[in-house]
Amino acid sequence: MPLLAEGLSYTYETGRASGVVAVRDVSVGVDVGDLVVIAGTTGSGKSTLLRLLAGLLVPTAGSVTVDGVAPGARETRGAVSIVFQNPETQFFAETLRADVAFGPRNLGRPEPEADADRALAAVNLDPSVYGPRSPFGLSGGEARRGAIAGALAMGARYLLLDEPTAGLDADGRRAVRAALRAERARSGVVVVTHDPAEFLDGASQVIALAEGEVAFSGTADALYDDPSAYEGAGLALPVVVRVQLLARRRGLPLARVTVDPGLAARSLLAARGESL
Amino acid sequence: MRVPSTFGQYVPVDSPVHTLDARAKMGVIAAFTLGLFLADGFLGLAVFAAAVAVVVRVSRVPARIAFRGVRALGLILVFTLLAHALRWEPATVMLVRLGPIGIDAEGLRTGIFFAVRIVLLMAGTSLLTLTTTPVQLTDGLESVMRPGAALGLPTGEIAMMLTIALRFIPTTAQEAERLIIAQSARGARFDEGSLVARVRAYVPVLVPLFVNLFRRAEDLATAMDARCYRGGEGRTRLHAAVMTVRDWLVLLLCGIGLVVTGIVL
Amino acid sequence: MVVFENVGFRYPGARTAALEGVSVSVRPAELVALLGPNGSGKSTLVRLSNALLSPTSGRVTVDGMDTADEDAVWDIRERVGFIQQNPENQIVGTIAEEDVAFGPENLGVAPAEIRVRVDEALEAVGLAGFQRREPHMLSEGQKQRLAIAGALAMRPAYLVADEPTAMLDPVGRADVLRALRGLRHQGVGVLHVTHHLEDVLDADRVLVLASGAVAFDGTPGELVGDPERALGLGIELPAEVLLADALRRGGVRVPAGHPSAEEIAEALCLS
Repeated sequence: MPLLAEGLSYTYETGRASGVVAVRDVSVGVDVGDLVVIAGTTGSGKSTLLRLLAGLLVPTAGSVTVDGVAPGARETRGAVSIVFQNPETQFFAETLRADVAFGPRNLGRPEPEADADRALAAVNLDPSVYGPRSPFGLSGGEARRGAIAGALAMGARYLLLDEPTAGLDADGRRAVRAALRAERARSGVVVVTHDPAEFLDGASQVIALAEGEVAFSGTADALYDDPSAYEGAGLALPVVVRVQLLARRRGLPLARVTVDPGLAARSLLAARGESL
Repeated sequence: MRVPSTFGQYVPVDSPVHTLDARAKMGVIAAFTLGLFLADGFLGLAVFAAAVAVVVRVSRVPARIAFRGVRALGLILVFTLLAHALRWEPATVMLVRLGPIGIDAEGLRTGIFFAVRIVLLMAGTSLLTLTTTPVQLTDGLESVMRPGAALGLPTGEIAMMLTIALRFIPTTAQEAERLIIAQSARGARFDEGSLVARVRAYVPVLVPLFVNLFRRAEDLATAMDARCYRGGEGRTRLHAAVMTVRDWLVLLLCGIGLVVTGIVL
Repeated sequence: MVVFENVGFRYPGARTAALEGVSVSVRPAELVALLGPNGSGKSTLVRLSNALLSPTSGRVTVDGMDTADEDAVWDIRERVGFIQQNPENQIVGTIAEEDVAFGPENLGVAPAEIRVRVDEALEAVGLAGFQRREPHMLSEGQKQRLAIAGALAMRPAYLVADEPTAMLDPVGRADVLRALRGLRHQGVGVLHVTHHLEDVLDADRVLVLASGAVAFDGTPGELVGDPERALGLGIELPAEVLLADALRRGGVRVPAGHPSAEEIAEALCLS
């Protein structure tokens, strides 16, 4: 049974400062193997939704269940892990291994250090090399993956990430994406972002939020069939995707649409050859 | 993210109280405090309460915000009240009695008097920070401290340090809240075990908080260098604080009025 | 003009030089982009341009003033505005107008003149009416524009921006880019350090640093037109530029440069 949210709403107390966003009647289901992309502009409520899914906020209406139980219940402790924006600013321990082991140790796991090493390996950081290193001396991409390992080490079946690639250079982003792809074998992954382009290929579900409500929900293919609601939420499809949609509309027989420019060029050229 | 409602934080509206010179306000607050402590009857407190109410009204600060600080005093107020009102046997006039303990009428009166005085003191002084920006406050302080500069005190630098401290309080509070939530999400517990255990639980919050603060400090120092900050000397001010006739009038009239009220009533 | 003449810099105690043999210049009203991987010396170059650092070899001059001349330091910093990556950390004032006033106050500008400069600077970055706003009540993009206003209020001839959009969302990024473009039209020379070539496709010149030396000095068009060279320099080209290039090599006549989706689709269906 999945991570399931039904009819979630959240309203902040009145009189609170600006910058906080409510969520209205949102339903999401995440299974192991899924990659759910939640897209929205700043102020769309996407970060609030992520906190609701993680059980860090209590919904004012609706419910979240983790494999059938409420989050925070004993059986589900550690089942859902959240990685906040710029998680590398949370490092505190002397070594990366000790930092990553913090979560499993808090959960009372018998071998937190072994959990840490497994998590480091899962994000492609060799535990024997990176484990003893100070978390404060890592490159941007390494630090980000190390921080994600901190969430993985808790043995989560559902991994929630807020802007996991923000601020990284091309290499760093590629490495984080690869780690998340590998993680899908073990868990359900939810990514919240204002720029979903790099996650559209392979997403099992795309949800666009606007002002706290679901503006679009469906597969990437469904999104490409009718992007109007998505664009209405203030989000833009990548130019590479728009080229393929325009070409399709003009009669080029394209089987699938991708954000990868190399793959897109190949299928566009093939389709063009066919139609000539 | 939720912005912590720091008590006494500046409320940016336009009002005659906001435009009053910070030094005049500080003087009036000093007179208010002095008068409040001199007053020894409920009539005096009533006059001071009316004064606070009028100023709150004129300042256009929402009453809810103006008295927010009072809520934080809850425990102190209850304690003050009880400390005066509760009496052991044998006592004078007991209103209520529970075994050897009872509530004493005279004590209750004194307790209420002190509690009201604390509330008024809190409400009155917080009006200063509610209607004065931190920079105006520190500029005012610097000006009041000016005699110290002649003695070699770096008053300009002290004022700048205060300004920056004030500037980064909300930022640091937000950051601390963010870190507490993030580490809680990794199973950290801040409310379990012995005192030592609880203090230790904050290490994963405090270490990154300080690391990030040092980074901020470095960036800020660079930014200040790049914007030609070189100490207080030769600096001018956007709002060159000048005590106008109005400021002097308010200071003198209110100051004398409040102190005299305190003495008479 | 800001001129780097054969500039080298080595941090005290460092084994290798952070910069070596760098000769570049920025003219008024010119937009120069500075790209390069992390650790290539971008931040060092930036800090050399306004006398936050002085070169260990060679010379940096700002309108003829040598940055190594200690008497000229403040005149140089008045001329060369500087904004950093993290919007939050460079704001000194507790409300917007006090922050913008900070520079002119340090320069000893008269209060009435500061008032004028503050209002103009806020207006120039699209923050008119935000005078009394507290920094923590601003979005990250607004904070970064506030920082730009703070630099502008010093009436600089040049502005050096060190990855000003790295921490912003798309809306904040677009707003900051617009504000920086506005400066150029006011005659301010801008040196814009960034990881994203998309941010600076309209720059007059692009400099690419690699291990402390200038590896490329040319126009954005040259980089966009030669993806292999860009890749070799470690520059990530926009995906649509790579698509256009791949299609071109497949015989499709896609217009040169940075074509729109419509132009690429048009070219595909013609033939």
